[in-house]
Amino acid sequence: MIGELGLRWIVTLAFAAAGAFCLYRCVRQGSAAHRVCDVLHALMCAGMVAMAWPAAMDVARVPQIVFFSVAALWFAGMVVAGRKNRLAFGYHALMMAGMAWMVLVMPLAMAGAMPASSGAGSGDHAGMAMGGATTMIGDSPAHVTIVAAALTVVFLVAGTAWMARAVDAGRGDSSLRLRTAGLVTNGVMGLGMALMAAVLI
Amino acid sequence: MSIAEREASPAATTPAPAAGWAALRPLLLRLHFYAGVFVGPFLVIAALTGIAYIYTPQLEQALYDHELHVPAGPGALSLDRQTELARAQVPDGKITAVRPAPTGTDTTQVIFDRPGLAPSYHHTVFVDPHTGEVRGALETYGSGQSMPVRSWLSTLHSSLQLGDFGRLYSELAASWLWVIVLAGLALWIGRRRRERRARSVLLPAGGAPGRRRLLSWHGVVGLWAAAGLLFLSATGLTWSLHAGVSVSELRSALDWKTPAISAAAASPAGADVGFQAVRDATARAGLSDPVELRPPGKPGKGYVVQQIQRSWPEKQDSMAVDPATGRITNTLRFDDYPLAAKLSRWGIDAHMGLLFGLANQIVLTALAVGLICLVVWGYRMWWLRRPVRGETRFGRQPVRGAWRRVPGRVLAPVLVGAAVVGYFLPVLGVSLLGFLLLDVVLGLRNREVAA
Repeated sequence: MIGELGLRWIVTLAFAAAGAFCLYRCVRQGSAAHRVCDVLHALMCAGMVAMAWPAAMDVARVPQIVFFSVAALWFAGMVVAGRKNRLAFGYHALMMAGMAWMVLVMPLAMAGAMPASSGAGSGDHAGMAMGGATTMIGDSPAHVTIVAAALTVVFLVAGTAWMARAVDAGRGDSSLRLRTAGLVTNGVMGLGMALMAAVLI
Repeated sequence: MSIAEREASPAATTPAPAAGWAALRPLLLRLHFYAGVFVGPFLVIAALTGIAYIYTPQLEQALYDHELHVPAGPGALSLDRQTELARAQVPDGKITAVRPAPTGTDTTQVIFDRPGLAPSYHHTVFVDPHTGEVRGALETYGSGQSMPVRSWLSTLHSSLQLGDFGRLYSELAASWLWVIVLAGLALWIGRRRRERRARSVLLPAGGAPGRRRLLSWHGVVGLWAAAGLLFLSATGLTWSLHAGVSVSELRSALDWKTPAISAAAASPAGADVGFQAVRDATARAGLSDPVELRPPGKPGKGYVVQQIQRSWPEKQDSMAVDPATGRITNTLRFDDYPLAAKLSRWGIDAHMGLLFGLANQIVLTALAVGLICLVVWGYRMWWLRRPVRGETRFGRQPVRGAWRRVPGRVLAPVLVGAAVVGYFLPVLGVSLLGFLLLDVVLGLRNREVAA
């Protein structure tokens, strides 16, 4: 769950757009196996949107964990079966496993969360007293914090790398827009995963 | 087409981007140029109002001499008697603090909260400690007890007297200042090798007036002022409406908050030794003037006596006193503050021109004047770049499409970093998005015109 409303909406819109693109690409092109990959990614995006909102973060937790675990196995199978892009499929497997793990530990991480009001600071300038901010300060167990920190770094680096490829692709042939959009979508999903993992720290 | 094919990199269709500085420079130039053109007027306003604000300590002493100062006299009434005299002037007020006269020629300030005052504003009565004469009453502001002129200039500097909406101007200026300064620094230091002799980087060029000489002055003054401007930007953001929230959250998360003394007292309600006894006890314990005494706000709480000197060496120690016994129950030394809390205190006071007195004021004035010159020279250079023929009235802008020359491995981290910074500094983020949208629209329009 993301405590900050603005950030919650940013995550929601980003994953909604990424999910919509995955569905669009699924309809437009790809082999049966890769259409399955797109559907899995679209459902992962829906799961991330649900996880961001307090009311939805606990919905169908066990089915979600099972589903994302199976999705991770699917991508792991693609790594084993495929000859090309094993690294990318391995990354997608890690993403699905990370998703299952986050659904699993989210209640644990949020159990100690409490709203924390920031101090008034030094309102020495007239009319400029600092606003009292409210944020969620989590008190996650150590093992959750360690894994979440590792996932944050991994997905931050991966998301940035996808974005770098998207930038390089974007300056190239304009007929490859779908491919560029796919790379951007991967970047958005990776960075969104990093953000969600960071919330658990 | 498979995901593997969809995500594979068709290198043949992608032009090789420029490498290193050659790729980044056009992007930084566009950023520095557009941000400077857009934020320049706000920076000039902030600098001018900032200069006016810096000298308010002297202005206050001159304008409110009657309220603040008294002729030296023998002896002094007790603080309790002085507060009684002040209270008679403000029957609907509640005493929130007392600032005893620090010297024989100062008045005692008795600070009230009363109905109708805006948040953080106080009604302060000034009492002659020798005679008990009430010298006047003023509406004061904040923990610094700003007199009306300082409050007014402060509000002008921060919000142009336009309320929270006006605060966006100063937040915009503070949010962009560090970006412009860092981009400018990189551009100046990273100039072509033949121009990069130490002298030309550190000292302005002479020669005939013109764009080249202006650029030299712009770069050199920017270089020397950079550290100070970055400091003003960082400390200014702590007061801002939106980014200030992020700063407060960060300080809370990192436990950088200014510590507060615990004033819990187990005394029976109603027992009170009074202001004078409390001050005497803390003075005996070594708490020197100037101080502010805050009475218990509710049962179970004690007095808090806090040093209020904001100039170097700062005096910010505080003590809690049991109102029933006059015994000191707690002491909080400024020396024991976390380093971040000390830096925050020093940073705020240096930004306000209080920390090092006149020297501080002169340095801030020089920085503000330098900033104004940088903006004016920047506009002047733009003007000098205008075409001398044709209908175009403005100077040329840096070339479009700079991002296309930056490799993805460089641009992507920059974009991710910009998104993070834009989130924590929302005015910067929103205005940056606005820039980008405007740039895209202008680009599309130019393309249509060219077609």
